[in-house]
Formats: sequence, C-alpha cells, structure tokens
Amino acid sequence: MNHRGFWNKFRQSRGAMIGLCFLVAEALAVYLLPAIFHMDPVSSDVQAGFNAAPSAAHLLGTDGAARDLLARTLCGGRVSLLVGVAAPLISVSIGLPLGLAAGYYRGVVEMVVMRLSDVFMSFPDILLSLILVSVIGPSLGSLIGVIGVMGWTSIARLVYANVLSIREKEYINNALSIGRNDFEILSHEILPGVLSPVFVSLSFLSGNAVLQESGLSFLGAGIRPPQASWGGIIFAAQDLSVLTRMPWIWAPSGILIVLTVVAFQFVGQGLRDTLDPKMTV
Amino acid sequence: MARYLYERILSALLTMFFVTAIIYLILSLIQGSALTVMGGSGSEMSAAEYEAARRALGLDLPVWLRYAHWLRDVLRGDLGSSYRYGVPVGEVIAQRFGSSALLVGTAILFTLLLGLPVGVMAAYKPGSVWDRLSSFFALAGFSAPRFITCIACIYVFSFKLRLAPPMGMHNAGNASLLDLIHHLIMPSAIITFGAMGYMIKQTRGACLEVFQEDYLKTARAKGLSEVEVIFKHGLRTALAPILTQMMVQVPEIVGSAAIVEKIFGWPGIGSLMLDAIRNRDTPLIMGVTLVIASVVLVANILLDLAYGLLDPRVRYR
Repeated sequence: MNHRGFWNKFRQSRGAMIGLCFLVAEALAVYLLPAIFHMDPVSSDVQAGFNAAPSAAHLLGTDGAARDLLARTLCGGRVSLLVGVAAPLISVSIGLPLGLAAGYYRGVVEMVVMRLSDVFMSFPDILLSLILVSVIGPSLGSLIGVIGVMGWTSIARLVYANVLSIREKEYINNALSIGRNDFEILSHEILPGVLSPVFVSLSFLSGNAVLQESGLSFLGAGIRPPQASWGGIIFAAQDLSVLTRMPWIWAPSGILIVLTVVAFQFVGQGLRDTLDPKMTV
Repeated sequence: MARYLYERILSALLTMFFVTAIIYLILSLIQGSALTVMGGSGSEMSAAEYEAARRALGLDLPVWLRYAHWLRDVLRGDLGSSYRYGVPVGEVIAQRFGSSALLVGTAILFTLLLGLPVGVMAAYKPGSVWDRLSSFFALAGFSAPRFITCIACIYVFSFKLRLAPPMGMHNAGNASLLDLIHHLIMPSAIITFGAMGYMIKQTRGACLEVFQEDYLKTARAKGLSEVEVIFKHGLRTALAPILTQMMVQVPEIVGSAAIVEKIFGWPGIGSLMLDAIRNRDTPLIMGVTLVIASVVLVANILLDLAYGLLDPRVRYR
C-alpha cells in the first residue's frame, strides 16, 4: 500500500483521527504553552499558598510546595509523551531481532528466546520495573529504558508468530533455492511481512508505556520532584486529606493520563483496521 | 496425561528458577544500599562495623554463591529474615497471604462471571448498542491506571456518597464477615474493572469466530434453543482460547492488586512487596517473588488442564 492509499484509508477511521488530533494538540500544548506564557513549574509562589484552590493567578491551583499546577501539569505531559514515544522504540529494537531469529532459525535460539519471554511474562511488569528502577536510580532515562526493555516480550512473540507462518510460504523456498543467504532472506523476504503488525502494536505499546510511567511515578519510583510528571502530581493524593478535599490537584492529571492512553488505543485500532484487518491485538 | 503434567511442572520449576535468579542478580546490584538503609535507621556505622555487617549477611561472597545458598535454604523451607523487620520472611508472608488471596480471588471470580457473559453477548450481535457499550466499558477498563480508578472511587464512593470505607480490611473492633465484605467490595471491584476489559475483548473475539461455524447452524436446525446453542456449543469451543488469554492476565492482575492494596491499606503481600522494594529488603523481596511466581505458575498449569477438559480435541502428549 502506498502512502496516499494508507492515509486515505486511515482517515476514514473516525476514532483514529480523533485520537491522532488529540495527541498532536496535546504535544503542541505541552511543548509550546509553557514557553509562550513563561510558565514556571518549579518555583513556589508562597503568597498564593500551599495546596491553594484554582484562582485567576493559578488556573489549576497550587500543589503542596505552592508550585503552579497548570505549569506542572503541562510539563508533566512532556514526560508522558516522551516515554510513550521512546519506550516502544526500545521494545521493538530488542523484540524484533529476537523474534526474527527465534522464528527463522528455530532450534536453540527459539528455545532460549521463548523461555526467556516466559520468564518475563510470569512476573508482574510493574513489580519488575519497580525493582529495576530502584537499582538503576529513578530518572527520565532509566524510566524509558526500563519500560522499553519490559515491552520486548510482546513484540518478540508477535514477530515470532508471524515469521513462523511466512517461513512456510513458497517464495521463501524459492529464495533459498536461488542461493540467497539467511541475511538476505530475513531482510528482503521476511522483514517486510512482519513490519505491519509491529507498526500496529507500536501505538498500543505507547499507551501501555504511558500507563507504566504514571504508575511508577505515582509509587515514587519514577520522575523525582521538582521535575513534574502526571503520576508524580497524583502522588500527593496518597494523603487522604488531599484526596478528599483537594480534587483539583489530582483530577486534571488523572483525566489527561486516561485520555492520552485512550487516544493511543484509538490510533492503534485505526492502524490495525488500515494495515491488517485480520489481526487481533 | 500424567506425563504431560510432569513435563508441565518441570518447566514451571525451571521458569521459577530463572525468575528468582534474575531478580536475585538484579537485587545484588543494590546490596550495599541495603546496609545503608539499615545503618540509616539506627546510628552511624564505622568502617569496621560496616565490614562486619557485610560479613554477617554474607554479602562478601560472590553473587552466584549467595543465590545458591538462598536456594538451598529455600528448599529446606527457610526464606531467611527480613533486613527491615528482623523477623522470618516466611512468617510475614504467611500473615499476609490470606488477605491477598481473598482480594485477588474475588477479583478473578467476578472477572470471569461478568466478563464472559458480556463478551458473549457483544459477539452475538456485533455492532449493536450492547456491543458498543461493552467495548466502551472495556476500553475504559484498560485505559485507566489502577491508581487513578482507586483515587476516583475513594473520592466518589467513600467521601462524597459515604457508601464504602476507604481503608483497611476491618473497622476497629469489628471482625464480622459483613464488615469484611463491606471493605472488600471496592478494592476487588476496581481490580475486576481493570481486568474485565481484556476478558470482554478476548471473549468477543473468540466467540465471533466460533459463531460463524456451521455446527452452530446444525445445532439450531436440530431444534435446540438459542441459549443451548450459544452456551453449550458455542461458548464451550470459544473458552479454550479465552483461558489461554487468561493465563497472560494473571501476573497483570497480581501486579495491579499490589497497587490497589497499597492505596487501600489492604494488608496483603502486594503492598508488602512494594514496601520491601522501597526498603531494599532483599530477603523479603525474594520471598514474595517466590510466592508470586508460584501462584502465577500454578494458575497457568490449572488453566492448561481446564483447557483440555473443555476442549476434547486437545490431547496431552
């Protein structure tokens, strides 16, 4: 399918377009608005007070350190979007080669890769990520790395399953019989066939990465204050009085996390319907 | 059958070995910090005291040897003592295991009881209002992080409506079953809500395929009622792939239960694990790891066996 054909088909999926527009608008907002309006997410405005309710000076109120919550919410969005885009790329760069090798060479490689993915899948992601982050030390880079690494199993299994079915096709035999080597067959004959499903699952992985990042930051193992993140902002709601009496602190970030994940889901569904209608992810 | 079960258990044990070995290896990288945490809780340590403490905990040995010792002790039934609390890890876990099992068990039960029929009905008339409503519900379930659902529910149901308690398993001095159920409803409903999304989607997908099959037409043609056709002939075949998906879900459910336990102050092993990780309490982390991995693998074997009971075409090699 060429680019124009792809775009025309993708455009017809209403949910996917809404999701895409939302994500683009969100990216523009979180990167441009703080710069344009000179918002300051780290300084305390002691005059406004701690945990102050929304007012003209602070449209979303202030947090427990009297920092402007609108600025923090916008800057927190940068973290979520960055993790959502970067972590899946790491998952693919690990999972794609391993899945290709396991499906193509079978034998020992297959056993090692699939066993290893069994090991990863038999333990809760969030707990393993938490352990890894606490070893490496929490930072944006380590969050992206850990969430990216944790996502390799789903990509590897997806690629593996697709390679297994492509491998049996006649054109692979033809390529073998005219003396193509393994690398040529993998890169020219097999890789193009597995790229569509990988591309589709990228968007779902992005949504998942946003969920993981917010969860880790909420548990205090992710982005550290004073740097802002949505999960970190909601961390304040672990205090029951903030939870019950100051919903303006945690509600906007909470709603944004859910909307962002839903948007990634919609885009993923649109990509799936466009590229690979039979696929079930 | 016996041979299949034997192989299945052997491979589960192997997986368990790797899970614990990998986590032990990762944790060994922060062993030094565990001492810092211990030292920090009391007075400052001198260099000699630090060295003595390291030796006492066996931290001067190479990692693989420490893991081998840990494994040997585990096989003898000794999980070691918590760095933080100084009590045997086995005891701490035994105290907490029941409440986690209750919470997670309730959630899994309701995920099946609610997710299956909703998914079947969605597949019965694709594109109907019911189908759209349930897919919206499913989307909401797996797009909302558990901690946000918890906070929103506590705000609405505990604070605004005062319907359910926001904390703990019991009110002080009240050990009645009714009180326990009252405390259990909200946390287990939140886990169910999260897990149900996948359940509905998987059930719908599996049923959509099965409902196309000719043998359902045959079943209708021979005069069976619609309920019998759908549930006896349709769902039974569809259940096998659904159960496989359920296996993938179990660790996810256990992980989300940890967060729910922490927020609700539910005294289970999930919140215990989160605290242990925060305190870098290696023996406790390893103990809970062992328990969680065993639960997941036992669940997998049981689901695998159920698969064979449900689908007579499956023959165990």
